[in-house]
This record gives sequence, C-alpha cells and structure tokens, in this order.
Amino acid sequence: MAATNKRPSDWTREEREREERVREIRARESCEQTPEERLEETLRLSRFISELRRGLSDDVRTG
Amino acid sequence: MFEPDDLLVALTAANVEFVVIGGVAVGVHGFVRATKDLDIVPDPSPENLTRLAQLLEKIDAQHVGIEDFSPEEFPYDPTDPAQLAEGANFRLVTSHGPLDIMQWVSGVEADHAYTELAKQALTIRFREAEIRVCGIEHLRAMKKAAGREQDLTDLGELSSAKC
Repeated sequence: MAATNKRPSDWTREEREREERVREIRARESCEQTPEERLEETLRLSRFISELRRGLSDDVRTG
Repeated sequence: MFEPDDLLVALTAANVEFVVIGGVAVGVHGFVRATKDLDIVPDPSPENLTRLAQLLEKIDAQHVGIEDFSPEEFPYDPTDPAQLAEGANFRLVTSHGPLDIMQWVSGVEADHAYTELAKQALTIRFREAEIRVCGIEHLRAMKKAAGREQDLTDLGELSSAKC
C-alpha cells in the first residue's frame, strides 16, 4: 500500500510524509484488531504466501 | 507447504507448553506480515520435552540443512527427549512445514529462554485452546540482537504500531 512507487532514496519531502502517513494509518488499523485477530491474520497470510510459492514452483516445473 | 495454524493446533492438542516468538509474535504485536516458519520456545521441563519429542516424531520432524551444512551434519535428534533437554536450537521441517525449536535466544539473557519469556508472555485464545506469545519488550530485544534486515524492518513497524 505504498503512496509512491519510487525508491525511498528518490522520495521528495512530500512523498516521505505521505509514506509516513500511510504507515501510521496501517499501524492504527492493525491496532484496532484484537491480538487473536492479528494472530489469525498472520497465520492465514503465511499459509497463503506459502501456497502461492508452491503454485509458482509447480508452474515452473510444468512450464 | 507451510500450515502454521495446523502446527499450532498440533502443539496445543499434544499439551506442549511453549512461547511463540518470531514473525507470528510480530503479527500479534501489531505488524501483520507473512512468515516462513513458526518459532517456539518450549518449557524445558522433562515432561514437556517428552510430549514435544513425541509430537515431533508424529509430524515427521527432520533437520533442515543450512547453506553448506547438510541435515545429516546436525548430531542431535529432536525426537529424543534426552537430546532435546541438552538445550540446543533446532531448525526443522515437519509435515505441516517449517518449525524452529529455540531453547536459547539472542537478546534474552537466560540459560533457558522459556523461563524468562514466560514472565511477560501474553496468553491469547487460539481455536479451542490458549497459546502464549512473547511480550513486546522481549520481542524488541530479540529483534535488536538478531539485527538482520527483516528484524530491523520489524522493529520500525512495531514502533509505529504501539498496540
């Protein structure tokens, strides 16, 4: 959810402030969840990424 | 395939006492991100290590090679409670995916990290059971001591989160 697609070293002051604001919003949204909800989301995301990686390697094998 | 929820269910169903550290703990404390493995610090009591060793055998735990070290070069057998009790760390792969058994951890000054971590651990509900997750100060200390790029990113994000 980046506010700019430039590399951090190329950010202007305004872009740096926008990125910081995005980070603050994400942090606040995450903190509005309970620890139990964050645990479940972390587990779900980790499993999902693992499935994606597996699918990627299957594609390479069959391709 | 990494099935961290199934790993946690298997651990709690086997009545293994442990504290979760690593990427899953980072998520619980406010920076939700994917992680490649489940890191746990087990209670070092002989009864608990026996339960853990039995579970590790059941879920087909095997050493993972690291760079030029092959799995066969790691001498300790994590499915033997006596060898687990020697206090080493184990990087394993199981039928539910990667599982790191950590008994000493950089950033936590104690012979048995569990004893220290348990003092500040959060107890949270997970499915039909409860699990313990290391406290934020211990998590920060471990991340600072590890100092890899991901650890430094986690430290920055955890500072923003302040949950």
